[in-house]
Amino acid sequence: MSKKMIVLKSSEGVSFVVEEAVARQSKIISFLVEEFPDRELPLTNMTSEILRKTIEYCKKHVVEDDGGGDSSSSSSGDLKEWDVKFVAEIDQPRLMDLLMAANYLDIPSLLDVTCQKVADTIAACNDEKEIRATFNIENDFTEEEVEAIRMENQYPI
Amino acid sequence: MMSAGVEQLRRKKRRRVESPSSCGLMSLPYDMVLNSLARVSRSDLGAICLVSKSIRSLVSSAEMYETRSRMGLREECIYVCLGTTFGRKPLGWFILRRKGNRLIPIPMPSFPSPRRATYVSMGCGIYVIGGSIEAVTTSRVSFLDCRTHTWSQLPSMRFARCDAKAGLLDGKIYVTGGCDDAFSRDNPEVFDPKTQTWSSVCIPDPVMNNKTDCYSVVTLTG
Repeated sequence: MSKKMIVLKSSEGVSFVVEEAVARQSKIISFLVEEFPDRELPLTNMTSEILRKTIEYCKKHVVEDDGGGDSSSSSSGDLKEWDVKFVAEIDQPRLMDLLMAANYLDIPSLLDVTCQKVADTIAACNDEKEIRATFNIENDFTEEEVEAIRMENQYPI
Repeated sequence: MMSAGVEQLRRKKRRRVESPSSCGLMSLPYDMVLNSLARVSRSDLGAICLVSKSIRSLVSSAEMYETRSRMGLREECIYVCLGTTFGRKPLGWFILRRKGNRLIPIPMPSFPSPRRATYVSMGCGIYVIGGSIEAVTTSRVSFLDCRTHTWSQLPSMRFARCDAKAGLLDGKIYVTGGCDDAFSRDNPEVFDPKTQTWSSVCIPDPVMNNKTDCYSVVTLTG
């Protein structure tokens, strides 16, 4: 039985032919496929690079239902390990883009993995200066304010 | 040279249009920033508060608390209220940080804090019930919101109580004992946080009569 394929088009106009089951992990694509069958779906705010990465993730995570119950292509332990490697290889700007893509396409598990990577990156920073540098955040505190917060040394939640 | 520079600038601009997020954390949608920061462990939140004003306010926001609760990421925390029984020094509130066993001070309320109050932890905060202010038994009740570490005053109890006993049932706080007049019948009362009201509790006479004083209240989740 041949698998149904759909076409996703990146912002640069590059077409990606993907199995429908793979693409359907995105709730948005799942919805669009039903509304507009047999049409290629333009994803105008996703670059080819990020779309390729997203598809790579979805391919790995697709759960094939061939009548005999759910059979994932990988065991959950392997999958976790794969996820860790997958985000470890992505640099900071692309991680942010991938996070945006996961949000835009509504792929909860990818959003989970990318947000966790952001949190892990923050935790790996030595101090607030490193966090600012890594995530391109402007310091809008005065020296006095920083000192006052340090004195308080409280964790508000 | 010149044209190369212009080209570079144009490319930079184009990149920004294609990918508005660049690598700035704060350019992500609010929910995404919240989702990411909520996963950072409590012990790292101190450093995060120093990053920027917006991050500091986000970390201490009610949404942050709710996101962490929803994700099952809340960490248990021990609050300590320290003071001497007869001392004149004001009480101090702290969080006991298990890492390094340190007491981290949290802000005090602007109103007077009682000694020998009854402390109840429920929902997102701690209720401080009755006690004694300047050696006078009080019916006052205050609340420490542990999400933001802000204090507020709640409606007073019907009776002034010191060292009262309290128990929780169905999201309500039952308080009994601690009234000054040992010979009067104790008047248990109950606080409903939803309606923010105190009301009396009827306890059948065989259980509580004029000669009975309530020594303790225990609730059991079963």
